[in-house]
Amino acid sequence: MGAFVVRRLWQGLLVILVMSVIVFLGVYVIGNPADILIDPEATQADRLAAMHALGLDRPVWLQYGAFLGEALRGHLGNSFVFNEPALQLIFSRMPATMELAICAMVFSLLLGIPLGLWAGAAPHSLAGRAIQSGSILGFSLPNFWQGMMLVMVFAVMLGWLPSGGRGEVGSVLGIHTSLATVDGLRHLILPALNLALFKLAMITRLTASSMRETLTMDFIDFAVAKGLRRRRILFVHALKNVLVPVITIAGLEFGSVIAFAVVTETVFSWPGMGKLIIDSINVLDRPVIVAYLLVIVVLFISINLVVDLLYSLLDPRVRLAAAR
Amino acid sequence: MSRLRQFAASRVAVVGAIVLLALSVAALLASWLAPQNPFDLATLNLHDSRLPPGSRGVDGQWYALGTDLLARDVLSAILYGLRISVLVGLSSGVIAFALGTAVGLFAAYKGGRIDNLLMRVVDLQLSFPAILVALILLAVLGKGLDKIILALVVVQWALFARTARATALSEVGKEYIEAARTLRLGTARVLFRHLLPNCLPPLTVIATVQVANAISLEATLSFLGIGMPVTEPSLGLLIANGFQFLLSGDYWISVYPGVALVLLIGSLNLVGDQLRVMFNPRLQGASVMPDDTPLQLTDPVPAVTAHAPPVLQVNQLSTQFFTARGVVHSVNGLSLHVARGEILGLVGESGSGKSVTGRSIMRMIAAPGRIVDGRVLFNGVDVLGLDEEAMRQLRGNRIAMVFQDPMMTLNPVLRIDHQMIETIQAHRTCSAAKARARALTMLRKVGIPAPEERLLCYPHQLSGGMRQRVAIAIALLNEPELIIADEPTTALDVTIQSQILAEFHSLAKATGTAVIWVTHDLSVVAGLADRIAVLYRGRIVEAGPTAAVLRAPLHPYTRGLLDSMPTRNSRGQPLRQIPGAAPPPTAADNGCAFRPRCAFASAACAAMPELAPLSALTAEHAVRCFHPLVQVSS
Repeated sequence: MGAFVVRRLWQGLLVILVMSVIVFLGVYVIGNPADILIDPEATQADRLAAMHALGLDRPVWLQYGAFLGEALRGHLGNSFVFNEPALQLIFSRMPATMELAICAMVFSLLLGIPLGLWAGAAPHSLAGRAIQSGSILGFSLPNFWQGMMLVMVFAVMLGWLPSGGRGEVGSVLGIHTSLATVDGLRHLILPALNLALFKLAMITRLTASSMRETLTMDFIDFAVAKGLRRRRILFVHALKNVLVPVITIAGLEFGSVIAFAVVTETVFSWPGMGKLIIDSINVLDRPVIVAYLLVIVVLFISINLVVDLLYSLLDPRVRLAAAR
Repeated sequence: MSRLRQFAASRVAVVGAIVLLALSVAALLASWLAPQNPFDLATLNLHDSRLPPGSRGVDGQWYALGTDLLARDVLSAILYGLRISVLVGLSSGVIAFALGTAVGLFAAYKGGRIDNLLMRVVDLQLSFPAILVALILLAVLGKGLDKIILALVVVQWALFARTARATALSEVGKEYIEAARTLRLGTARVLFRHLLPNCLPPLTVIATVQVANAISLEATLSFLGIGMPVTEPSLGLLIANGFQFLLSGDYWISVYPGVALVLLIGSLNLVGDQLRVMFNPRLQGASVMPDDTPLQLTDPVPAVTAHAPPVLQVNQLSTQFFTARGVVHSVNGLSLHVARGEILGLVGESGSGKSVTGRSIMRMIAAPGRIVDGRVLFNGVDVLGLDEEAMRQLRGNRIAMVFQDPMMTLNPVLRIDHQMIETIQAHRTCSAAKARARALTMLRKVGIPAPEERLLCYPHQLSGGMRQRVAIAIALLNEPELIIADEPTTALDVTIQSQILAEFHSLAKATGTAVIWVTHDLSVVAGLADRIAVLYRGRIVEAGPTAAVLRAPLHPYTRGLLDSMPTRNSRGQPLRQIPGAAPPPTAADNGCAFRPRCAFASAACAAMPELAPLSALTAEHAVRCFHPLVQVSS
């Protein structure tokens, strides 16, 4: 197990290195690095002086080395807009996004797995077909439009819930979260629902198809031949096998939930890092863009690592292979 | 035609196709259909700003879906916006399709390092969500139609590449590709003439869904303000423009473009989903999991007859599979019987219906298969007439089954002890401790060393032979009266095979359990079975005591099977084989099914012979043949 973790960490570092090259080439070479690092209002003479001081007149690979060195020390420049270190800015917005993403993920799992099991176990029943078709609808509603409809119905027409913002943030065990206050919860419901629906459709479909496939396996035949009750076959024999891929993919999809938070946060004015990146792109606050990108890459690699470990805990076959 | 009918099997998909067609036509004819050109600022009258649907403008214009802030007719804006959305989705889809497929085929064909490197890139790309990649690209590139198409291509190509490669790889090993390589046909020619056609179905499915995704993504990016420029309002941009008015109640500015967008994406997804089902046969696979619908057989349950009935008596059993290519008569009016303590060898080549027979007795036939006729009398009771719960109580309890592949029959994620204990507890109230003790005894009986440790193992920790022993132990747990063994030793190597055969034989004899041993291998049943029934095309062609059948086979087919067995005396000589192949099981034919391959066939064989003994002296040994092989007495 230890060797497995070390190997995965090593692979992760490699990916981060590759991504840092891509980010560097993308933003620093295609874009004009002077725009990123130097105050746009500086005079031409100041610019040249600054470019020299920053080493922008040196060969590209030397520049990359300098960029990497700075990045490793957490220096990714200051935001033009907020005039504070870009990395710090992102970290200050991260909890709000995480809170939203976790709530959405939990919600889509809690509802998606049972719906998927139902649709998978009885694919030709009315309920099964309705769930399948409904999940296609879930795929087909673009996130932002679906969020707008939620606002229209629940905030504008019914007036039950607020249309945006994060509301009051309370504190539980030292963690600041909207879950701690009623007002915070009221603000959280619609954005979390909005972010969850797409994943809900995905997890439902994944669970259903995984269930259908599992039910055609030989070991299910054998379970039937053993005279087990339908309930036990479905919820012990099939479910355990279905959960392995579903949990794995759900884990990997957590990264994509964080990415889609960009849309939800824009629709609901949720003060997370997704809204920050969109605002930054619209005003070309490039240090923030670069910082966001690198933070996201590290986040994704961490998620993948955690999911791999989780997977090996869930599936005895992998557990053994890793132990060897 | 059949493809079209297959597609139309889903009514939802047909609706999707119609909506998709209508929207495409509307997008294509936007400039003719739209009452107003939303780009022509001269025709806009700012007095008509934000009018609700169905209202008239100052110039008497009628706005069916209302107007937006710039007094543009929402309906017209939707039609033009639709055109942009379709254009973006289609062009990015087509380019990504071409690019990704080319890369994927190339990787599959070249293999080795090139393949490895390209797939690393694909994996890396796919590990990041599309929206994030597109977001960053557009942040660097800026807005614009060309830029958004570029971003969407970058986002999409990898999935095409991966799919094309995976499909092509399954082709690359095949002979025709090797032949093309040997003939030194150019790389491009092999790729496009030979590999591409095989990859098209899965790629088409992906393309449909990808175009839907691309349209959705474009709309999302435009909504976020980093996609299309304001001069080219796609549906996403129209919705974004209306968002601020949503809160004040002017819903139509954003809701109607949204409806158009959802219809477009939804219809594409519906069509794509049905294509996916059509091209992926795995999704059509059915489970033997019993649904709760009872069997519908015409015959009533017969009363118990015969004073000493055999454990199992099968009468005129017919099981058919209703496939798209026709009805397959897998089991065709088959009759057999097994007495207590008797081992019956059911022999036949693959496709003869031997496994289906075993499964029919257990009533484990998955759709599209169905038992259409016959009786399966177990201790005189027709199991085909039982309700599902009564049937469940028989399975694994009175009638047990062992399957062919021990690697697949045990549940990989459950420990052996759980899989054994549940088998006991499914049929009787019994404490876990007692059940465990019973499991332990059974494992010992089938010759598993250190059974206490094995109980705590997962199946993958055991060898194939061990697993099959566990499966046999599970079958024996509830002391069944009948065991149906479906080629349980075929997947094992020869030494393990003979060990298990010997153990099985002694166990069955010791407990008085009746056994139906299904196999394609006469040599397996030769030392095991008391009687042999030879199956050909769903019918028994010869049945009798093992010694009689092996020493003096009556049916030319049985003779052929025996001749094709390697023996000590035939060493150094080529093995004989039966000429020809079994006819397709869908072919309608009332005559002897073996006659196309039979050296003795005559005009008489066009009718179906009865299964009957040759004389009263050999009443036990029956054959279904007009020209039985009568041994020359020496």
